[in-house]
Amino acid sequence: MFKLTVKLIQWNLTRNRLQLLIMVLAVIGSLSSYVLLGTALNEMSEKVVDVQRSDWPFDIEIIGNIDDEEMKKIMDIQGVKYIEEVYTTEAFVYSSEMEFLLIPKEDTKILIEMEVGNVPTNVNEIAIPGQLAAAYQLNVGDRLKVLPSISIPPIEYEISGIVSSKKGVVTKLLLNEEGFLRLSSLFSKKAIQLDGKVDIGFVEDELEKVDAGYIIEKYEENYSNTKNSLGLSDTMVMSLRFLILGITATSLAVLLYIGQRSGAYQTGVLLAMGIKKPWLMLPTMIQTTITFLIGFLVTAAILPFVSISLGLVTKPLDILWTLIKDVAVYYGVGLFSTLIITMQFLGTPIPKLFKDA
Amino acid sequence: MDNQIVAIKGDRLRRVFHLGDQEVRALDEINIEVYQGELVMLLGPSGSGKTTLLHTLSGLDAPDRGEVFVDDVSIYKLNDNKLSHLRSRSFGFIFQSFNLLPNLTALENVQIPLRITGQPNPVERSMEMLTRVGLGDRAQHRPGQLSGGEQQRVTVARALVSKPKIVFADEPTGNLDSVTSMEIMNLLQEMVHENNSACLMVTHNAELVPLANRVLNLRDGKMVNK
Repeated sequence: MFKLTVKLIQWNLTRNRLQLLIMVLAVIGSLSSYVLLGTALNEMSEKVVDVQRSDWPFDIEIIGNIDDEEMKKIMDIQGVKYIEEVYTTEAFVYSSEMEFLLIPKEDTKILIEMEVGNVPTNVNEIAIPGQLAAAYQLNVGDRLKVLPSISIPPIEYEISGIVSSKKGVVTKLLLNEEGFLRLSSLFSKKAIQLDGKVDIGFVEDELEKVDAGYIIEKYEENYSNTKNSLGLSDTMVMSLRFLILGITATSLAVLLYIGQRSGAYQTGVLLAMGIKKPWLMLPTMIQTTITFLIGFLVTAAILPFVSISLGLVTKPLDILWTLIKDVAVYYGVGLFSTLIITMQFLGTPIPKLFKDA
Repeated sequence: MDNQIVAIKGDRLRRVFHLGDQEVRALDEINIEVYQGELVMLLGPSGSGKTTLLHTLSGLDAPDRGEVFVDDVSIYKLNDNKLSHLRSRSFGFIFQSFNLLPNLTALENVQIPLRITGQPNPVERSMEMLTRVGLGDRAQHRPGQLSGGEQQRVTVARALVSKPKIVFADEPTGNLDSVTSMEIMNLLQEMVHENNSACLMVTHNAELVPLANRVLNLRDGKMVNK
């Protein structure tokens, strides 16, 4: 019977090569869309959420002496996505306490965009937020007095630029390193961005386990908004993937049914001769598996190139990993739809199979 | 020939089809017995119920009423698996369209019933049967490389290789010329008698009637004479 099964598989695969090719193409197309659209949507939502995080793209800040080992432990905490070293200090401007930021050197999540002028490049320069400039009618070239504390005389800076008032752009006053040192010593904080899924309280607990002496500041309201936005995006990704799975399952089932119909008479003859239905289902299942295998391998081969040409930020290796992770679900759905359609086909009365052919 | 042993029996078979509002009685209280070793031909105009009767007796299409007995077992009381088992062990089929599996050689096609039932020496027995139908030298050819007559010889070999109790043939010569038809029929008659099988054959071809042991006429789902 095994030999006959092998021959039936061969018959299934070779009797309509065009149909097989279309099935493989359908698998490649839908599997690629399944992975790429999901990845693209995730990237898009992350960018949107980054913008929506308000002017400060971090969810938790830690102050404390953090060595390399502790840093590694922090990075390994579930939900920690990104850590950046930041330098901030507070001082008075027009009798209001404001926050000052040392301009990050490189690779920062902080969005700095100038409306007018430039970022400070020397010890006497400062860039101020658009809101402050509007409130006090300040322009580039004006001088601004900053009072580090009551007991220290004010320090004067020249406004080199006005920061854009766009959403997401930093709203702190900006200084370069020398200018910052006039106000405060360099005392860094670790600013942490979370993945938008983990509970912020959980991360706080984990940080305390690393070192109970850390001073931890949480931006809970911002993080809650981020979580909501990412939740919506996840729902969208899920729905889209569900839709692709549905379309794939349906199209494969239809293609398979067309293929099965083309061999209806022979199937009728085999059933009439007393072959048991599972023996006829097995070749169809194997045909689907082979179709998926070819489709999967081709998709895996082309996906990195497609993702690069689409300009996705996610690394090709990560996309391949997503493909590998998701292929089981995808194959399961394909196999299930094959099973249903084959059961339905083999349940057709044999005389009807003869007539339908 | 022992014509006293009933190979298959149909008792008050009724089969009704619904075409829109119209009710078509394809089989109307049919009683039939086919004995071992005899070749019975079913004749009748198109739509008289010949093929329906063949399908009903061969376990392919359950009647709306009545029963089919093989070895005193009512076959439609068997479950799907057991009915398949019965068909594979006791029935052989020959159809008008030869419908051999195109990617299998003649020899492999003939082996199918033996492989389904897991019988021993399928290759040797199939080769023997192919030689018997005059296709020993064509055993490794695929259906596409055989003529219509040769393909039908292969289906005859396939139907008889497991020495079934009953052979059902639905217009086996329908796609063949008259000379080839007569060759196939002679072969079928010879082999059915040799195996002491029963053969129930549906045909339109009146020229074949002399080869039958018995002829049954159907008209509008009823047996009009025996």
